[in-house]
Amino acid sequence: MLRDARTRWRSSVAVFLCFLLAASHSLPARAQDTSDVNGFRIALVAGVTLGTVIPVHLYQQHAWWQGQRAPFRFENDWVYALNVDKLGHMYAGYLLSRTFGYTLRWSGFSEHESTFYGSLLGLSYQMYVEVEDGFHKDYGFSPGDAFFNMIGATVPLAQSTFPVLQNFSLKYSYWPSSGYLNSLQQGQQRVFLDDYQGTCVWLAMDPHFLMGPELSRLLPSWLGCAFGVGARDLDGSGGGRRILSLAIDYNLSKIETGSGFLRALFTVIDYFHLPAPVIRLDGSKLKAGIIYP
Amino acid sequence: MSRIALACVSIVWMILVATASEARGGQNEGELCDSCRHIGLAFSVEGCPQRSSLSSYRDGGYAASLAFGINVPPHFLVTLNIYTGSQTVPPGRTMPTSGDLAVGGAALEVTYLFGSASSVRPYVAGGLGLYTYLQKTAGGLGYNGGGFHVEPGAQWDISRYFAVRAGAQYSQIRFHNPVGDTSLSPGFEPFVVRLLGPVLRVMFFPSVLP
Repeated sequence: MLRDARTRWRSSVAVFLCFLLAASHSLPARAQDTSDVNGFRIALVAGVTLGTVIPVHLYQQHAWWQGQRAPFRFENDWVYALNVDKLGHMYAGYLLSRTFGYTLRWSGFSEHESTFYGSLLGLSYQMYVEVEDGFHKDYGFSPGDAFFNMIGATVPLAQSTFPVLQNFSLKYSYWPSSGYLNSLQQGQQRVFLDDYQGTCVWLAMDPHFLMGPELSRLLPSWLGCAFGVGARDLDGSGGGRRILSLAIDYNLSKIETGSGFLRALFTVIDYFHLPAPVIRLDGSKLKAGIIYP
Repeated sequence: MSRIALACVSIVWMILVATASEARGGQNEGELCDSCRHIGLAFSVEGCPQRSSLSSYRDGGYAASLAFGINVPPHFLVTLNIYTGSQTVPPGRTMPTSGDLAVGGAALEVTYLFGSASSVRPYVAGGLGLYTYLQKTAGGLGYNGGGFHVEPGAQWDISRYFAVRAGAQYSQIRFHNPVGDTSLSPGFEPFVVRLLGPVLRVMFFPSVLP
């Protein structure tokens, strides 16, 4: 029952994220860093956000009223999922902050304001989820999750202050693990966000800033590289093996196009690492693949 | 291993930002005094590698924290600190349980920075927090508590974006109820833990308020 409630909760969060992400990146960015808040747009953003968060919260409260609630407590879970879950928290903090930032920019806030408030909103939402976890009988507030929420949420701020960091980004890739697929076949309710054996979180880099102008011209602007961390054979208590990957990465938003739709689409896709040639360190074995998600 | 991973992430992050700061072509020069007067976000990594005990309850341990907050010029910094750590209590101590305990917590902290002509400024910080000590076995016994801490020390403003702190922290936590498998703690009596130890903290301010 608890697992079901948690699964639905995570599903709701995923849907909420996807909706905000898709909506925000379809919006045209402003050229200058000026603040001219549009009342209708900010009301729309606030309405959509609250209209998603409140029902999810009420639903979850209802689930806890079924006897799932416990006194608030902290619980460290550093060994769980070999930190892939922590990197997932960092990615989610980054994604949420970016998404809130884009929606606020669309609403008329200046670039600086939207980045700042976007980070604050992204972190607030994640901390709210963490506090709610603190009241769960079987979970607890995880300081480790909160650490990586903070790191992820401050990435857009640092990128805004130090432009060179804009050459780096966090990305996500997923391929369902056999354990996850088996549990679905057995009728268990699970959500892919908790399938850490199929998850890989990437630090992507656009190497052009390291090259001179001549060398830079030889490499297509949309081509980059990425370093990824994943895990396999997790047992939930520290067992398993890490998978480190070095792969080619695509920055589709660097492709010049006159289509606003394509620009928005490329920007959204760039939050995910697409299948590409890779070298993997799987436990102690070095492997190479032509296409690996 | 996990904590090493966290330390690596934090260090890499600091290096990246430091590198970026350098790439800005020395724009930080001359901004040292202004740095403390900007409103901004404070993001800090705190290490407290060893805390000596003033009570019979704790024998060695450490805590690390990250903080997120707002720098209110010119003297105040308000942060939410999240703690993680470990504590070893040998058998025979009067604490209700012994062994390795996981430490988790959160505290709202206010720092007052004294004025100074140099880039090194004394400060005093104080905060209120909630803490949990929990056995490292699944579903084990633990204790919830609340308390306060005070921390005098000195802060060195390296640049507009970076600062380093060193201080000594005194904490007092009253554990008032068991959590987890409470059947393991019949007749629980609240107990108080007092701590004194050094604190080192690296801070950076990636942005200023609009």
